[in-house]
Amino acid sequence: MNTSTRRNFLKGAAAIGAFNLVPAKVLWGATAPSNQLTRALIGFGCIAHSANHLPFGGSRLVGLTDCYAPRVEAGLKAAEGRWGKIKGYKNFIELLNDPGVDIVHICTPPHWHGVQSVMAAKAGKDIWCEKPMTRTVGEGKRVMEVVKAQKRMFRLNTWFRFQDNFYGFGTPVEPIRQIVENGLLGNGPIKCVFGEGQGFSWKFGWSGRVQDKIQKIPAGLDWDMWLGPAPWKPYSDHRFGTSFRGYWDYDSGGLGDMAQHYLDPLQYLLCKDETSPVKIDYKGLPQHPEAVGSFDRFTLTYDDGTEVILDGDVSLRDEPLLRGSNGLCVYKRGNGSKTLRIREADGTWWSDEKVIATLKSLPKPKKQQTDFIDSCRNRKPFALNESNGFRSSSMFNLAIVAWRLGRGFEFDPVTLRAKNDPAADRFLYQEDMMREPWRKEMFG
Amino acid sequence: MSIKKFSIIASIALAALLSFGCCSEVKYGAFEPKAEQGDSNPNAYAGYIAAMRRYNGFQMAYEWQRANPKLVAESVKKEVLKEFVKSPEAADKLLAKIGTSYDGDPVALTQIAAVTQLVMTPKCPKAPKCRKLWVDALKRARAKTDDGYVKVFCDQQLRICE
Repeated sequence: MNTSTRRNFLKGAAAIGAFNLVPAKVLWGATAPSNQLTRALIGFGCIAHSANHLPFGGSRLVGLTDCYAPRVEAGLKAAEGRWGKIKGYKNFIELLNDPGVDIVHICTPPHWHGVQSVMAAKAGKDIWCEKPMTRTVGEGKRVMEVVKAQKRMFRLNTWFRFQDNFYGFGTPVEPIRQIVENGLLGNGPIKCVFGEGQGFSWKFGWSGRVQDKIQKIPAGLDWDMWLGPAPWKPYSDHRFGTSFRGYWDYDSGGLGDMAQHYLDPLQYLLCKDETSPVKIDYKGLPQHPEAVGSFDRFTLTYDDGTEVILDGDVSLRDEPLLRGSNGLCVYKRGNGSKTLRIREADGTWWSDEKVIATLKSLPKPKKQQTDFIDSCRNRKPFALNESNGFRSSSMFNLAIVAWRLGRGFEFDPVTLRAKNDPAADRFLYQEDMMREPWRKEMFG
Repeated sequence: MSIKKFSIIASIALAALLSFGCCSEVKYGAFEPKAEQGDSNPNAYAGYIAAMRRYNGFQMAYEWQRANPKLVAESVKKEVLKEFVKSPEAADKLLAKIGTSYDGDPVALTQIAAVTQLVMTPKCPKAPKCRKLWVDALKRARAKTDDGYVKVFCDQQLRICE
């Protein structure tokens, strides 16, 4: 090699060496694989395939687990295209013990959410939990306590308080909050009706069988682990898979399944993130003690008189979403309108132009923290966290108690107990019915 | 067959298939409304799955309720439930209908849950006496069976009223 070539070669080699000495973070930023936060999925049923779990690009997927072996195989295969070879953990405890996992995504049925959230928090993980947050008020309270004590970041897998259109409403939630927050609905209580008339259906199809047959446990399924903290009951294929939603032991039908999607944004737009209803009324048929049925109506009343009515029998179809104390009413987009619709007490409808101009003139709500990865990196509580998530899950968990009781009851939003109603408390708090070791893991 | 004819037949067949599964659901909107542009509806498929699953010959709770509203409502009237806590024999007879492992009579099971609530009724003067009778009956039902499901079912009632 002549001098000139050697010099050029050495220059080139030095440049390559210098290039490698520059930290990846500088070259690639936070998205360098070695700098990305990592996540692992607990549970690989239906919901784990959805956008915020398997394919989510904000963190790097490093592993998953499920108590049904075929799902683990399916998950590892599904992950390969995007994430390469990831780890299939024996169980979620092995997953939680892996220091290489920063964030856990809890994609198991609701009867597991409380236990796994608490165990994940104690293991030092940040948590992205499927909705509903928990199956009972008692579990939700415990999750809130432990997540705070362990200083973990927590979010729920619902987002309508900060993005996308509010289901059948045709608009995001922010303009509705502007209307409420800026007093356009008067200074008194607001009446809110939530049902098919506003585009929200309660999915009574998520129901359980009133009679059933015991079946052979499929090969590869650890039924005892699937049950986890839930009472032991024999295997039936209707209690497993997506139809677990129809059984009180694991969920609460369409209400348990969907209500956090619907009621969390409602709680946000009503500015009720720090409290809970004080009175819960129920209208409907008595419930089978195993299988979730249907309801006609729940009325949740707050201390200030604000009412949230869950319209199951669609008898309030024509009611507005919000009726202010001054008679002003807010309706979903419809009849060719470009935005949500507002009607005066005297029946006069606002024009689209007036609605849009009014919203433009009103102060916007406080900005929300909507990047969970940023939350985890910089320890900023996420928009929907363990505190306001507990309150919105309590809205429907209170309704579920009334549903099972077959009657209404009163609730104290400070002590988080039913008022003078031990039977209601037995449904609000079900720690004693949880199987070990999960009860101990959760409550100590 | 023309494309138009095929499309019509296929549409009718699909509608028949769906309506066979869902005619009792239409009133309660079990199927999600069509998502509007910009809506993200993660559970849009859910109603369909639930509708298809129930055709293993077992009735779903909400169908059973809606098919028998009078029967269900009247089965839990106070004057009916009180009969079950008038004597240990009456309580035992009801609890015998828990059956074994998911084959219990749904009316009886609903009544059992309702009796558990009745004996816990706040401010009811006779509730303490009825409660003791009912708790003892649940414990007897639990003790005399080997069926694991029946034991757990009784435990779930006992934790509310014991």
